[in-house]
Amino acid sequence: MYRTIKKSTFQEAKDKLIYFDWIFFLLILLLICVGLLTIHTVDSSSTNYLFKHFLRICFSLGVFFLVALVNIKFWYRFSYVFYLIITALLIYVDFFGLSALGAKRWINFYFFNIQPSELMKVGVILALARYYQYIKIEEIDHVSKLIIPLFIILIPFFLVAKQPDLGTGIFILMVSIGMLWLAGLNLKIFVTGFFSLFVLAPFAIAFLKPYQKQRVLTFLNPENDPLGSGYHIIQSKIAIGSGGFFGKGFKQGTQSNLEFLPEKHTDFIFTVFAEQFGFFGSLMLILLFFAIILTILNISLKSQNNFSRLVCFGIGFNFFVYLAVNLGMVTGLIPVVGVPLPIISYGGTAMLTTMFALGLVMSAKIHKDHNL
Amino acid sequence: MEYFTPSPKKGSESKGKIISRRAFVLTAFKFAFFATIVSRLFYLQVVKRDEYIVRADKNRFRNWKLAPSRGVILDKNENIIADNFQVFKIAVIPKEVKSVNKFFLSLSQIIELKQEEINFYKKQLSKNNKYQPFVLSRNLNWKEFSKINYNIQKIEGVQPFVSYERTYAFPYEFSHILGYVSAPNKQELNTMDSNFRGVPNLKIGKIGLEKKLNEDLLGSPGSATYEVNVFGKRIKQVVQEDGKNGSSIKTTLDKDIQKYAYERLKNNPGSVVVMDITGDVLCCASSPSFDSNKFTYGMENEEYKSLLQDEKKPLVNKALTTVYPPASTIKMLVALSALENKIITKNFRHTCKGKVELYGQMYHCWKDKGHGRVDLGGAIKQSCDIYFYEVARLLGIDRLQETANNFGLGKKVFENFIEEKEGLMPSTLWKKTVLGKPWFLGETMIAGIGQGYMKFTNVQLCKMMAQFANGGYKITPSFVQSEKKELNEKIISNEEHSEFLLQTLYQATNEPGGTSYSSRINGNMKFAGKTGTAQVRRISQSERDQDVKNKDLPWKYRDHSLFAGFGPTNKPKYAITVIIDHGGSGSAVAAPIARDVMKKIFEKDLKANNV
Repeated sequence: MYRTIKKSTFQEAKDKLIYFDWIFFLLILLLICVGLLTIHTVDSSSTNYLFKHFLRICFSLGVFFLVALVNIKFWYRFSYVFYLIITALLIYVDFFGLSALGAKRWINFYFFNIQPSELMKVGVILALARYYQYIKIEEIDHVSKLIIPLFIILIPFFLVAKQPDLGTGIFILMVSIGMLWLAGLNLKIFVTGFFSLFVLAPFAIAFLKPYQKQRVLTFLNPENDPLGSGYHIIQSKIAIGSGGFFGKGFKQGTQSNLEFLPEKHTDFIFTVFAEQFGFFGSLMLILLFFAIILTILNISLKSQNNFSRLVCFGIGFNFFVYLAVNLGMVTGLIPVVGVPLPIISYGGTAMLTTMFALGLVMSAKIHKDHNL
Repeated sequence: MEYFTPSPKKGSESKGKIISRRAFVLTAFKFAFFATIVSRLFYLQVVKRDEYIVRADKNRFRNWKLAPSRGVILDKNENIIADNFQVFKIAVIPKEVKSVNKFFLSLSQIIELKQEEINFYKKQLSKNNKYQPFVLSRNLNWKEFSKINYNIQKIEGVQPFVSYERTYAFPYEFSHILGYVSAPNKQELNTMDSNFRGVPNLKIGKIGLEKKLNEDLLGSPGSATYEVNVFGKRIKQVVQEDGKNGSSIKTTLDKDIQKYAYERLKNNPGSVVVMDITGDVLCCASSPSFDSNKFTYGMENEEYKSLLQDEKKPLVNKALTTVYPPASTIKMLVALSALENKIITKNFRHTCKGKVELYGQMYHCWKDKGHGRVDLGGAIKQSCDIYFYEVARLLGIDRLQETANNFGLGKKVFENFIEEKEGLMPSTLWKKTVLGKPWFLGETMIAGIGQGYMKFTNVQLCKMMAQFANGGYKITPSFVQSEKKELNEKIISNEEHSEFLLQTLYQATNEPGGTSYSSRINGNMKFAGKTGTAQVRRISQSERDQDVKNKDLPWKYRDHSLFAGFGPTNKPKYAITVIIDHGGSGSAVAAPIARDVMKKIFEKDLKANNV
């Protein structure tokens, strides 16, 4: 495409609407509706989750549109700044943040408590995408070219782990590794990395907090301590399993209605859904998630520049890690780590981060023909 | 920023391809992971569905058993002597509570609980089955109960419920014969129907009629299934299965007589048994007594210990459990046996000089000077010992044992009374097989006055007396009212014998010189009976010489005081036996009590007839 004539603002907006991926947006809307529906079933007059969730969705959708309509070029230029701002917020949180359950994770804005570690997931994606945009394929494996990415990854990792929030720290690490892999790093580097991690693991365990160790142990044998930490996993499995093929019906989930499910409106919301709608409903929901991931893949493949591609792949991968960890957790495949189900779970920052990230993908789609 | 030029470079071109290729690999990996999740869901929701449905139901359904209301016990005039009242209780299933300390802490924030109380419950709770409800023994008042129901979410695992508790209208008077109820122990629970497992606040009869009639009184438990939330709060009731309340039982006991007899006994440890001549037991009182209501809630250890260690044995039913030498009350039977076996006639005479020597052993009469020459009537009236030594010597122990067996002596009177003792009627065979020794003639002689190996319970003596009074018909005494019993099995073959013996008893009480003349009842309705003074130890010669008075001895060495009688004499209807532990002579202590109780019965009968 050649753009020799400067278009009017109106024309520009019209173009953007043409390139706006309506199917992608529809899928997101569908997911939002599922989220509202599920939140509704666990809501009560005293909690008022549904209304708050709805407000957050409105706000996040606003952010989504804002991000989507801004040229990807802007995000490219802004990525390091964005990364640095969030790093600063993380440092701020570590010293002045609100504490809950022994961890400092939140900053109190006047209407909103924000969790910088969530935003950092996108921050790292943007920073790494920007960095690898201009690294030549011949140079990519060079040690000198590894130093900056390592800093980009490890600074937030340690800041988050220190809160302490090892779950999110590992999450950031996983997304970053995904980014490095996509950027084209030689497989050997990963192998060496994993191997050294394996050797270092026993030392790392020594640094774990007692409750973190307990979580790993409980995961290994949840039935051992049915009223303690394993309780979450057992109740979650019971809820999912008892849903059967078609579920117990809308608002008929006994495990959730009778409050046997812990954290049912946040991390364990999938369980609430699976109990009510069964295997069939769960399969549909997973297909919906997979459709979104495939759409993101499709958009990234059609992008003209590597930054857009890397950002989209990264966000797709981020989205996937969210899902994988959450679904793995509620079905008892991996230990309990506090990761919400994107878009469905009740929770401000995760929703904002996800919609911001999806906004970036949409921006990449709208501006796919633009050069940086 | 020259490296931002749009012209595609060679490197970046191939780099884009690498990114795409790797993105595909990653997508394949994602797909694999989703497949894993889906198959995991398939495993949980389709393969293991039924198992998880069961587990979810186990989470939300609580089966709560309901203890049936225990059957009411009535006396013969339909007065309630054992009743139930409604109580508010709390229970907790230990398995459902994460921390016992937290449970009691939150409970004590709602209702007042003393620290000792908490410690006591904690100790008991640790012994309770983890899956069965543990009931706090304390009864709540309505205010506390509603407070707990209101705050149920704050106390994890608490189960408030309404139940029934046994209460006795006359806790002291009837405590021995009715017994008491208490929570079943492990072995008792194992012998019961499995339905009864896990019934909160279940109480069973431990002793007395409560135990004997437990099966009828108990009924069967109901159950209700509730849907509960994670805090154990009941959301709704799903199923209700009604149990069957215990059936009420009408006994033959008479509340007024029992009360009066107990009153009359009060300071004398002993027992009074009254039955009518068909075997209906009107009164079975034992003293001293205890508060049977206290057992329902579990008695304090100290109190129980002091009851247990009391030398007058308040926990023992002296009418059924304690065995006594029958002493002179057996003389009727010795006389009958001798008459029936044609060893003597009623005109048989023997001379009493106060003592008699046999093989170098001295046998004494209670009257040192002796009774002179007496016939059978006189011997019974004055209770001459020497005469009965002679009769017993002629009769022999084995013939006496046969007659005693016919009268039910040395055998249990009731069925299924765990506390009832058999007593002992000796014979030569018994001594040989049990003690491995030959029988001596001297033992036959003292058997003639009811001493030696012979040991009977009060109810056995009363049954004997009732069988004399009804003219020699065998009876089966009972506490439960049933159709009128038929008297048809005769145990006295010659009617003259029974008439003669009743006549002599009349003389013993109602004619001067009789042993219980001072305890006669004047008026149209008279009563008659035989006194007995049972030695509990051998009296040494030096004691005889010093003439040691019974009341100077330590309590436990004093004689037992016995009386067995019947009334009214013109038309016998009731038999009565009174035994006072270490009370002294039968005529001084037991006979007046028997007279007063009999008088009370006569008065009651008169009143009933006039109305």
